[in-house]
Amino acid sequence: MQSKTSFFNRTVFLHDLKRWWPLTAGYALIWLLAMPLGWLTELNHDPYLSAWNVQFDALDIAGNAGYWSAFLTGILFAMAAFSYLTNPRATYGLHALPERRETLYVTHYLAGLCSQLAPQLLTVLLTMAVLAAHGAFSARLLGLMLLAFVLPTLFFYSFGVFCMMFTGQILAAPVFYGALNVLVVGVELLIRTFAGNFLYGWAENIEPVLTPFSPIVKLVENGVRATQDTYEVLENGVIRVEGTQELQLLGLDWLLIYAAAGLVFAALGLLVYRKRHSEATGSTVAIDWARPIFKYGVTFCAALALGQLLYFLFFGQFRSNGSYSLPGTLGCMALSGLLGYFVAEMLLKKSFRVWKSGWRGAVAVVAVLVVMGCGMSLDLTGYESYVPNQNDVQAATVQMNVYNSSAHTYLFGIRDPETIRLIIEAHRAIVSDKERQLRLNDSAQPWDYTETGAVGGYFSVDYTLSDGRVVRRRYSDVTIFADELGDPASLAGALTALNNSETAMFARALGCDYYNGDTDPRALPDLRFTGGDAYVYDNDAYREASRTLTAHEAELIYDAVLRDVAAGHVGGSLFESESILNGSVTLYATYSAPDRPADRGVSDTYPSEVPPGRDMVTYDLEITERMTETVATLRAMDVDVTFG
Amino acid sequence: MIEVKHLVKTFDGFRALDDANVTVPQGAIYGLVGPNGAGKTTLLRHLTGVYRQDSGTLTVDGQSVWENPAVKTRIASIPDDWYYFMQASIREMMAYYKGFYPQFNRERYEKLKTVFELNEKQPIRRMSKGMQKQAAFWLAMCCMPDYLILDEPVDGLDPVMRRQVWGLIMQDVAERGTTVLVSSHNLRELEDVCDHVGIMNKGKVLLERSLSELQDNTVKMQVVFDGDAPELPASLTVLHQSAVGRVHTIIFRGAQHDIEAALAQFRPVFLEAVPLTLEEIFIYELGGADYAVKDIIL
Repeated sequence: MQSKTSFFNRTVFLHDLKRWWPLTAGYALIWLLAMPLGWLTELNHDPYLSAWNVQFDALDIAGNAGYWSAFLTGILFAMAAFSYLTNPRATYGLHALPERRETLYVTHYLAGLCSQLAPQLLTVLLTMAVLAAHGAFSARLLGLMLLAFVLPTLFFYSFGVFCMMFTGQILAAPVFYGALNVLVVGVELLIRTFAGNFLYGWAENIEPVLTPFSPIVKLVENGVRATQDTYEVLENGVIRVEGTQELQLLGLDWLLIYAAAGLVFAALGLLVYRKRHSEATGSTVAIDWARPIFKYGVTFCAALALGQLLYFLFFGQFRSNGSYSLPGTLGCMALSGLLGYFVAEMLLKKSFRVWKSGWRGAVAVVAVLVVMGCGMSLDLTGYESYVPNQNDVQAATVQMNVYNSSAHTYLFGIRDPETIRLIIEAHRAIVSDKERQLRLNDSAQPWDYTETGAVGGYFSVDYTLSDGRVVRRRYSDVTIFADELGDPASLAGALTALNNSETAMFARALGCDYYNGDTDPRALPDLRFTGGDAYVYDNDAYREASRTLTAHEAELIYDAVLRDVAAGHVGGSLFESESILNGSVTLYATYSAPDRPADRGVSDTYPSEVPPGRDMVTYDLEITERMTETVATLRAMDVDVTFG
Repeated sequence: MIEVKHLVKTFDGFRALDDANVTVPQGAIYGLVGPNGAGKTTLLRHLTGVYRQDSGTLTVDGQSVWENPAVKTRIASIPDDWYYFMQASIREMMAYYKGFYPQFNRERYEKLKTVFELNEKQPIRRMSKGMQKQAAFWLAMCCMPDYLILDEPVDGLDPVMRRQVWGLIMQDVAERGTTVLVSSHNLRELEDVCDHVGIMNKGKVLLERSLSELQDNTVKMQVVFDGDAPELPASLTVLHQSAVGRVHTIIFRGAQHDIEAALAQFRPVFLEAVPLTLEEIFIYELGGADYAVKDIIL
């Protein structure tokens, strides 16, 4: 008769708590010194601190320290709870006892978790007692502080236990734990860097998208702290901040997600433990199916990380994307990959004699790396040559600037077909010029126009396609030749056409190019200027002046800008540096926005006088000396403009 | 009854148990012998639920041992390297064992205190190897097991304590019908206590019989022939043969009276059956399995 499954053994639980009490006590001591004692000292020193500030700071500390301490100590408690799995005598001794694996796992898991949570609970309660004595008790604060401690602990401890299930070496556990906490983002960045070595136009400076799979990175990036505002990301990417009267824990959503993930890891840990063989104790990787993953994972990471470091040191320091030494990069990666492979093999077999048995795998590793490198080199995916058809592009964002020149074009979320056509033409010209661009990049070029007749520039483009895909390309060192300006099909011609397009000129003059394309005044319904500010100075004359513009004046300036754009006063040569206004002119306007609720702002600086049903937009003008209409209008308003 | 059928266990490609079959009758003291690396400890670790077999079955009274606390509660084991917690004393380990064995006998614990004369409050790690072994026995006996699995149980014990321990085990077997499976290289000692023996080599159980059956089936004859030794008939199974002067010592497998009758046909000058020890049976049986003392001069 098979016995009924029990998931808890009281003897084991109590014995565990007793056995690692020094760890629990040390952890409790650190927290007690940091929180209740710290607050007691501070409140005695400064009894006039407001209850609100005390509550805010207490939650802020708990939020930040809660996840950091959970991260740092989660693995320690997991190691304490399951250290017997790294000692053959202990493993055999405990597994010979009449108890199921489920019971042992759950009991040890709970003992470890309780050992970590108990000091935290004590800390929170004592802190609240200190705060209550100061009149700063809050049930909400108590709840939020508990969540700030318990949720990350649940995740990091469970994840630590999960890691422990995979190893039979006590020292391997923290290594796995630390590595897996940052692995996904790390590998994503390594792959991007790897692709960047080979691919002309590779967009390497975009944010990693897999950060949520690297918990500690995500929590640091996102932050866990006290706030009294709520944040909401709107469809157009704007973050709406809404003030509340209550204390909030920023990052609570992620803590909840990770806590749920922690429970999943705890359950997965049990499944792994049930399958784990007792004889795996002492092995670096204790689970059979995880061994090849470990071996080839280490190989892959070594090839990417160490290989790219070597390549950078020996070959790549002065190269740009797509400009590379194929033998150099393959050699460095193969060498590093082999090193990683044999180190992993040594760790798995616990022997230095792995050459003979491991050569087949080593050959396979080198072959895969060579195929990967050659595949990238030959652009088998067509990444480098791809330029989308205009019909497929829904919107485009382009950033272009020319070094040692004032020429620049920043257009965001452009949907105008003519501008998109010009962007695609410019992109196509860069792609067509690839061989010459890479050749030029391989050697240092002086960017003095008078010597070379050429300037360097930066061009990046993001297309949002009709199917929702986003295509990104970055070209950091584009060389533009002055003698090709007359040829519209040349790179210089295509970039000039884009730079002098009406949309680009308009955006540049109105200063709305840094923002979302939705701020294009021509696209905003029922635009009404409400006023503005003008600030000008003249360094030579030691003079500065500022004045407020009326709605009418703002309207006049806007009309003048439109005339300058129409007259072609805003564009210019890519090789020119134009004089720009000393100072700034800002115009304010509102437009019809029926969906915007009247009772909330869109940012901290949002003016309160924006009427219901309308929204506000600001234009910081970029006024050059050639914009004669605008300059004349400003001077007619007694704004004393000078240029520098 | 313990029944092991076609048990196979592989470690990194090495077949530690290779179709092993063992049957330990209820109430028997079963001695498991074999050379180093034969698979004895591996087999015992399966019986205590530590290892999970690759294939084959392993039952105690018809029930699988693996992940079956109901069966494991009836089994106590003393491995060669008994585990205790780093800081633990015998008394603390007793409390721990009590949490797993509901039938743990506190009265017996107190009684055995006078036998083992150990300081129950002293950390076990500070005790000698022999004292630790005594502590293991003390606690195992208090678990009131129906099955006692012992791996090199008296290693490190002094002769008096060895007798004492064996006496306690025999008493349990006699009074409670405890079944004992013991692995040891001390064949002389096993011969005194075991009633069943299994010989293992290279992961297989070469033979298992009751001790008397085993001794009855292997015969050591000392013979002096008149003249040169004749060629023995093929019907006789010779395990080993040696000669000192004219005295031939031959180990046969078979019944003693059949062998004596066969040898009598050669009219030997002298013919005598000599008692065979378990150690000799072990050596000669394994000699047939390519495991024998090699004559080598250094």
